[in-house]
Amino acid sequence: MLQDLANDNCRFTVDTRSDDRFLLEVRDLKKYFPIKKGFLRRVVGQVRAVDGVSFYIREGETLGLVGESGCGKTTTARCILRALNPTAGQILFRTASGQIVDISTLPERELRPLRREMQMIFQDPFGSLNPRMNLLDIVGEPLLVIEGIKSRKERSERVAELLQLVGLRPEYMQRYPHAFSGGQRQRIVIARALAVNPRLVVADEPVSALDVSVRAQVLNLMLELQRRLHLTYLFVAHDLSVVKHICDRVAVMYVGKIVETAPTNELFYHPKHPYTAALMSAVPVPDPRIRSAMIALEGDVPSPANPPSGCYFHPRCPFAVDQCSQEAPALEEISPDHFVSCHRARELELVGIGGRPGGP
Amino acid sequence: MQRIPTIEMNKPTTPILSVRNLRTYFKLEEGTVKAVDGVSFDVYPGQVVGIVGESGCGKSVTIKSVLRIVEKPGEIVAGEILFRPRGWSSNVSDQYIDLARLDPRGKEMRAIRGGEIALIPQEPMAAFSPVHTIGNQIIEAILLHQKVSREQAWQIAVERLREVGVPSPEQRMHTYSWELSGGLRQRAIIAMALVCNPSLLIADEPTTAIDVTTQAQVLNLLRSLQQYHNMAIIFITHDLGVIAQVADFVVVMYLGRVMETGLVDDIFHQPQHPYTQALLRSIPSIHSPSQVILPTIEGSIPHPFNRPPGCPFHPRCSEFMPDICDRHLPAVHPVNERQSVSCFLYHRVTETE
Repeated sequence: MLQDLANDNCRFTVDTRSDDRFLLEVRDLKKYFPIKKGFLRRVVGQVRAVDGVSFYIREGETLGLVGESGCGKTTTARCILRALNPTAGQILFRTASGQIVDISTLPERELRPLRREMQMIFQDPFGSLNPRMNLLDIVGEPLLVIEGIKSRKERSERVAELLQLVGLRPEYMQRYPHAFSGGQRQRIVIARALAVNPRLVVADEPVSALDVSVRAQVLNLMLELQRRLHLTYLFVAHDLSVVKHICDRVAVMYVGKIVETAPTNELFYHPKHPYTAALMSAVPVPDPRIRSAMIALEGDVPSPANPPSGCYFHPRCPFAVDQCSQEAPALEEISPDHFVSCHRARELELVGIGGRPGGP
Repeated sequence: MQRIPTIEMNKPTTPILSVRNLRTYFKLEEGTVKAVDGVSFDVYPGQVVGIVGESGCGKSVTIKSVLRIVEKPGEIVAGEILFRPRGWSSNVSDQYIDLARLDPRGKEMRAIRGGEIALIPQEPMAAFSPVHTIGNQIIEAILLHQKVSREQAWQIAVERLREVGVPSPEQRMHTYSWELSGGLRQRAIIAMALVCNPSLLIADEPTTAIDVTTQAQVLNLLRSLQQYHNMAIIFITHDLGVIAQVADFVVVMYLGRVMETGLVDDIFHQPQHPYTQALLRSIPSIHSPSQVILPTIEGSIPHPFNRPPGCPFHPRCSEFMPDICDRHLPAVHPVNERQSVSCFLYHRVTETE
C-alpha cells in the first residue's frame, strides 16, 4: 500500500519535468555511517558520506561523477545499486516496462528483478575476478543466477557471444583470470556486466587501474558498446581528461554534496562553481607549453564527519563572503541543464580548463 | 657494446649522475627477469629529469638501483652508476663514485643515501612509522648525516617543515603520521627528504596516491624548492600530464629499455619513437573532441617472463619491420642534437641479440 503511494508520488514528480527520457533520478540521497565509540558502541557521530545528492541520467547518455577521494562518489554509486542501503532520499528508476520505482526503499525480493537492469563495472580487475573460476563460470554466473539459464551448453553459447562482443576470443572460455592482462581482465568484467542485458551500467573508475597504453582500448570499447546496445552509463572517476572524453554530462561532488552539474563542455569551459574551477586548473595538462596554469587550492578536504558550516567549500574558497559560512547554498538551475550550488554563481567569472576563459 | 648517448654535451657543467648501461636482473626459479636492461641517462645539476613509463618498464628498479636498495633476488649485473658527491670539483670529470661498485650496506653508500641522494617514496602512509612522531623521525634523519646536537636538529626540522608549508610546524613535530592529512603527510615526507640538503632528489611517483588539488600543491612546492635549492630531481611517474608540467628532460622507458630521451618540449611536440608517439596519441586530451574513438596501442604489455626478442615494443608497434625489429635489439642513438631514440627507423642494425 505504502509502496503504491510512493510510486504514485514519484510518477507525479517525474512527470512534472515532462521528460520521459529519464532513466534514473536521484533525489536528496543521503548515506550516513555511524561513528561508534566505547564499550557500549554508542553512536557519537555520523560520517555524512553522501549528504543530499540529486541528479538525473537520461536514457542512453553517460553521466560522469567526479570528485576527490572521500567525496562520496563511490558510496553514491553503491547506494544506487543498493549494495548499500541509503539513509534517506529517493532513487527513481524507470524499468524496462516503463514503470517508475523507488529503489531506495524496495525490499530485496522486489529488487531482484531489477538487478538485471543495473550492473556494475569495478575499478580493480585484479580484485573483482575470482581466480578459481574460468571465464565460462565468471561470465556465465549472472546468466545462471539472474537469467536462470540452467543448460550449460546454452550458457557457453551466450558466453562465447559476450566474449566476442568485448573483443576477446571465445576459445579463452576455459582459461582462468591469471592468464589475462589488466586490459583483458577489464574486458571480462565488462562482459560479465553485460551478460544480463542491463540498461544502466555503473562503472566505478573502470580505467584507473589500467596502464596508459591499454586505457584507450577500454574507453573505446565502452563507447562502442554504448552505441550498439544503447547503454546508459554512470561513470565514476577522478581523472578529468577521461571524464571529458567519455561523458555527456558531469556532476562534481565535494564532501558528500553535488556542487555542480552541467553538460561536459559547458562544465569544462564555463565552470560556475569555484571548486569545479579549482579542480580544472589542478589537472596537469600533458603539454609542456601550458605550464603555470595550476592554481592549487589551499588546505585540505574537510572530514565528512565534521564538515564546516554553511557551504562546505567556504574555508578553501578564494571567493568566500560572510554568507558562505552561514548559509548552505541550494543546487539551482542557472541555465538549462546547468545546476550550481554556490551563492555567488551568477556573479563570478571563472576560468575553465587550460587556463583560458571561455574555452578553446 | 651499447654506445652511451651523449646528451647535451655542450652543456657547461658535468652531470651529477650518469647512469651507463645499467642492467638489473632478478634471477628467479622460473627464469631471469631483466627489469632494467641497458639503461643510460644523465642528470645535470638543477635539472628535473622525468622518467616515464608504464607498469613493468623498470622505472622504479632503475632508481632503486641508484639508491642501492634493490631487494633480493634482484642485483645489478652490469653497468655503472656514476655519482659526483658534493664538494668535489665540478670540472674534473673523473671524480665520480661508481655507486654500482659500492657495498649497499657500507659506510659510503649509507652516507650518500639520504645525505646526498634523497628519496620521496610513493606511499607517504607507508614511509613514516606510525609509532614514532613525525619530529623524531625527521630528527633521526638529521642526526644520521650531520654533526649537530639534538636541539639544533630540532630547529632544522622545524625550519624544513615551515619551508614546505606545514602550518604551525612546532606542533606538527609531536604528531604521528596518521594524524596528518594526505597533503600534509606528503609535505612532511618532502621536508624529511630535504633535511640534509641533498644534491639529488628522487621522487618515485610522489603524487600517485593523492588527489588532484593536493597533487597541484605538491608539484608547485617541488618546483619552487627545486629552483630555490638548485637541486637535481629525478621524477618518476606514469602520468604524462605530470611529466609535462615538471620535467626539463624526459626518459621514456618500456620493458626495461630506454625508448627515447629528449627535452620535454621535443618529447611532447616532436616525439620520434613509435612508442612515444602512440602513447601520446592514446591519451584523451583535455582539448580533443569528446566521444571519438581514440587511437590505441594494440595488445598489452608482455609479462616479464615472455619478453619478446629484438625490440621489446615490436609486437605492438605500428612501424614494425619484419626480420629487423624482431631479431635485433636497437641501441639508443641521437636523431638530432637534442633527442635520442632506440629504433631501427632511425639507424641501421648495429647490435644483435
